[in-house]
Amino acid sequence: MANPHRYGFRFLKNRWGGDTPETYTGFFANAYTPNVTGATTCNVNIGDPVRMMNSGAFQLVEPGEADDDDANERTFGIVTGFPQVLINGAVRPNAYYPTGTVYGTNLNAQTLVQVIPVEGCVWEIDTATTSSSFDSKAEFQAIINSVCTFSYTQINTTTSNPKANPMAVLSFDEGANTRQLRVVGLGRGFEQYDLTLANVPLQVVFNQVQASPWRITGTQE
Amino acid sequence: MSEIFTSTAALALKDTLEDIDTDEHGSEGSRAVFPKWCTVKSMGDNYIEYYEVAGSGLAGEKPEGESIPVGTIHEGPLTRFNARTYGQRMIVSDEALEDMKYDKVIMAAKRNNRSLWKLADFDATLMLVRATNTAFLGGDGQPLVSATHTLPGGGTYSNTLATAMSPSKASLIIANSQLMQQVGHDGLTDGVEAKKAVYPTAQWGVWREILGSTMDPTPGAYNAINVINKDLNITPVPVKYWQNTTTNWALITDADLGLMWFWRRKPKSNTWVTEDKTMMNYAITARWSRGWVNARAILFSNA
Repeated sequence: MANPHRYGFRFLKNRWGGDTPETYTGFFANAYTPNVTGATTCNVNIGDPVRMMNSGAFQLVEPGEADDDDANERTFGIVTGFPQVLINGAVRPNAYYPTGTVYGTNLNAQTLVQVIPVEGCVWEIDTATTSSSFDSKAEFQAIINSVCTFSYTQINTTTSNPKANPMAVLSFDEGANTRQLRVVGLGRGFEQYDLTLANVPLQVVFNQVQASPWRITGTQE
Repeated sequence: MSEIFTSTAALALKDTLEDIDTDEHGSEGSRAVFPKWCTVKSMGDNYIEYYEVAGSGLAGEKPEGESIPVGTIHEGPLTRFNARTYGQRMIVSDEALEDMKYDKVIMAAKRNNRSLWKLADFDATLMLVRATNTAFLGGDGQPLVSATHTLPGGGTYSNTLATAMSPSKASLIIANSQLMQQVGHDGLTDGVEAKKAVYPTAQWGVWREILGSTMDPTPGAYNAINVINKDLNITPVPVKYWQNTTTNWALITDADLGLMWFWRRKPKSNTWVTEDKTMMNYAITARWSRGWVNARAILFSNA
């Protein structure tokens, strides 16, 4: 089977049970323009990872780098909806955030975004690339409990809704002491996938999270 | 990416659309491919077992005054089928259920139905995809297709063409000749009959010609009869989910206990409400197992 791509981070289960994940409703800044490595001219879509800024607004999380622990690589939650977006002069729900949406100082028209906080949840994410080192079930099983990062491979660049498209980087452990994700299992339908191709689903939890209730000093973004 | 809110398909909140472009849902069960090439049964326990026992071989001559030769039986492998549970659920907000103007947008139960039946078809097809994969073995310690399936009394038998061939009248004649001499559990020549041809869809045309032509479809031999069409009664079954090859194919025979599909529980739907969030959950689950006991049920061309 040619592997179908299921977009973004998908909620799989809560580690402590519960049939419906808790959501948190926040906002995007006026005229926010997503621009991260690999996704420089995109909208924000359901399934994208976001972090909370000092301003209280959400932004797309930066893709991970090896061997560092930048604050902008830490994830608060995964987008699961946009209950209010200013579209053609009036607000309504929308399936994505159009980049650069201007609501000015009118907070009644503020862009609202629903996110599922990542801590305590298990997520599913597709692999970004292929590798001869990871093309069998045994090889994929061997990376369970390894760590990896996610990157963006922008898709739909020619349509009205270009998507950031976060995917798991097919590189594990490799000397890094801080990575965004930890692999905890194989994704649903794994047996049906062609493991020599990209888009193999993995179960992951987030290592680098914005979960701390404390803010000590300075930038905690 | 998990729950369905009003924003998930926001353009369906107003009655302005002519139609919704989406996959067809709801009738996948009746269009499943695997029942056409697997024997579909049910199982009543958590696991079920099949036990192979081989008979006594050839009888012998009894010289006058001597004892009649003694026969015996031999134990073969035990094959166990374990039921596994498969399923999916969708979580939809009350607001989305109330406000979506088009049935075809959410239709959570129908989408669940499609997801599960598609999985069943893909899961069954794994038997063909992994037919020669030595990581996926049957009760006799061999993959579905092997030149060295074990016989309980000793020795082996094959259910693969010695030389892989593309589908043609000639290859079907060779394959059928091999099937006519297939051995039984005791190793004695028994013979099985080809009933179905399973193949990736890329081969649909050539199989139509081989099985459907009254006269020989081989160029230069059009005045000869097509023995495949005249003498055999093979039903073509293109398996659209078989995608790891375009060149392999197989014949399914009338051997007992071949490729089987066991329902422990057919697809069952559930719905419930998460009260504190007023979110509706739609779920579907089923339990099944699939596999084979008697590998004589297939003859494979591993091209």
